[in-house]
Amino acid sequence: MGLTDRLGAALSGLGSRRLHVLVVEAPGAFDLRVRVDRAVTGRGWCAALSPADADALVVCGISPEPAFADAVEVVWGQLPGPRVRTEVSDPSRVDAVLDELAWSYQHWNPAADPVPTDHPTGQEDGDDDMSGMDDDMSGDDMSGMDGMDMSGPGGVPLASGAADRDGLEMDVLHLPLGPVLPSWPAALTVSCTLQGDVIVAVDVQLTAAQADDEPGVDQAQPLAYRLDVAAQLLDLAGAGDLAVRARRARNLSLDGADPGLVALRRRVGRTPLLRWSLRRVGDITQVTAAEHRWPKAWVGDAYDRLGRLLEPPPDSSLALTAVAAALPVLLPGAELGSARLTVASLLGHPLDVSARPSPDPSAVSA
Amino acid sequence: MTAGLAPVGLSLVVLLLTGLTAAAWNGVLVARAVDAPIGAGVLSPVSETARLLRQRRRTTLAADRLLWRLAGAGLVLAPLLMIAVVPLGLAPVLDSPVGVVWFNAADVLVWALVWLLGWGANSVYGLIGAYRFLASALAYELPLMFALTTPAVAAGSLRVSDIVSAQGVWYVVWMPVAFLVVCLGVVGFSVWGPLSPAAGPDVAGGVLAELSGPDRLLVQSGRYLLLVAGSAFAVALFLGGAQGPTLPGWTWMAIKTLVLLGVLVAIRRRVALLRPDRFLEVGWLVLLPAALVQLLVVSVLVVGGR
Repeated sequence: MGLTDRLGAALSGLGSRRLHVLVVEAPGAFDLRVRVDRAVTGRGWCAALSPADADALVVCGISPEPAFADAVEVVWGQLPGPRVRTEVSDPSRVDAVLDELAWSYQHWNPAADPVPTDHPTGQEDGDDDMSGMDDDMSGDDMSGMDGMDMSGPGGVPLASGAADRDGLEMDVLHLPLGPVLPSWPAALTVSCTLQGDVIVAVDVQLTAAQADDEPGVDQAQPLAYRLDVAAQLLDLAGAGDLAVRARRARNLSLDGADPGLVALRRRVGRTPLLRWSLRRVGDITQVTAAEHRWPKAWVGDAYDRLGRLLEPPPDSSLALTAVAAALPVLLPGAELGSARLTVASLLGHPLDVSARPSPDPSAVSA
Repeated sequence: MTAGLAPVGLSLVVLLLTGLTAAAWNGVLVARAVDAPIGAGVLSPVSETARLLRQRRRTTLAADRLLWRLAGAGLVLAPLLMIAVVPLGLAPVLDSPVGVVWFNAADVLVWALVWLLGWGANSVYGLIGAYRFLASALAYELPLMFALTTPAVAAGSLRVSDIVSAQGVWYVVWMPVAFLVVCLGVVGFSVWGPLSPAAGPDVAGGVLAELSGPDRLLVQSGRYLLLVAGSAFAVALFLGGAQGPTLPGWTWMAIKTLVLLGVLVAIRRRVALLRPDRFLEVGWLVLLPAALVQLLVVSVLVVGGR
């Protein structure tokens, strides 16, 4: 082998020790996704934050929805090379699949995998889930205009402006959250309309299986599910070490051992600034919860809900449809990061609905 | 003004090696947190560099490529500018009579660089990350400016070598608030730890969301190099710089910088992310008055002592 070949082999060997993996969870594949997570962490690999950061795409489970498959294809197109892709549907083959993934990464052939480094002009708009590209969906009524070139750079029209909550004109941006997004519930897609970083409108969609209120695999292991949700919330809040501890507790509970909830709650309580940083994020007052018939467990801010997630699981757990119904009320007006924290904190809570406040007899005036 | 090629070479080598050490230390802390072998943690910057060197570059639709790539390269240039005024044992590369102001100008340059990094990508996540950085920077920059002035007032000069040699007792002993504010400023302009909402996981990596390959390597290296340059400057200003008994000056400088750098790197694992709107409250209501009071106290002491 020549010097460049040897150098390339050394680089790929070193790089494969720290693959960044984008793990995609199909709805209903929670158990499989947790196995893949454990295997990935066990090899010293990391979870990727965005497609640009990822070397490998692992799809856990199968979804019959065409929208999901389209989303995965779009995300795959965003990965720079060297990139490898695989699907896992058999829990017992996870390690073998990841070994094959590492081998394919090291022997990736750039000529056989032409990824466009430049997006062709005007073609990739609309369905980009994770690229977050600037695109304007409100141009439909302009398509009838002839002889006027309304395109901006790259063939995509410039963002239109609209009055924001202060009455000033700001650009309107559209951003779909999900179905392929790290630390995001699998069956949910929220199409946001943003002005700056504030969400002004949402359009929530669930995959058909969840919309029929089928109890998913998540309900089979409620403690593990709640700890996983807590770990995702801690990741989003920037407390990476605590998220690792929560995942360790989740793995222990899946293996049948004692997860050590008390110790975990104590660690969370002792982390400086976590409580202060999460204060008033997704704040739900008791009155609002009673008015919308929301669960009692949702009252408070994201930190309170995090504390409740780290307690022993209740008998019944909330379905995703209830969360999806609450989002159009909760999200508009929230900043994008706060919205993600809010969504992560609403999952996995028990079903007891708040009682409607009874009218106060002493308030009857003379 | 410049003292020949030796300080230039020394500064570059020191900056790169110390940056690598900081990244390795971060890798060790991460490995300890996930119960992975420590060796993998130490090797992690090398593995990451190898992975990123193999990656292809990518771009987005209608990205402002010139400004975007300039911003990435600038994030490696800014720490070089910062460390040029720090005496690492020998005379500094640039023995400017206004070294403190030079450093401040370099850290304000980072505002433009991180903003362009987010804006140039033509991506919602990048744009949000850029605005978040500006919000955090508005909170720490004014206190940082006042805290940088405090040692200059005590030493009666803006030249960094004068401040180093004027420290009989280390300045950190009687200006602790200024030292803490400068450390917070260093963490802030390196987009590190609690002050990294611009690259936060809740916006899919923010300004880092659309970067790959050598561009990503430049920006990630830039963050570590900024931490190193900021720590070295804080050591020169508050911890006596290259002064110390028996051992040669550069050894003391190295030891002190590595200790401070280790602490700043370790903060990332211990503290949660500070959202910019919360940090703005702290910056203007707590840090700024504290920095001003500290400056007042030092000024009174200096004038009274004369």
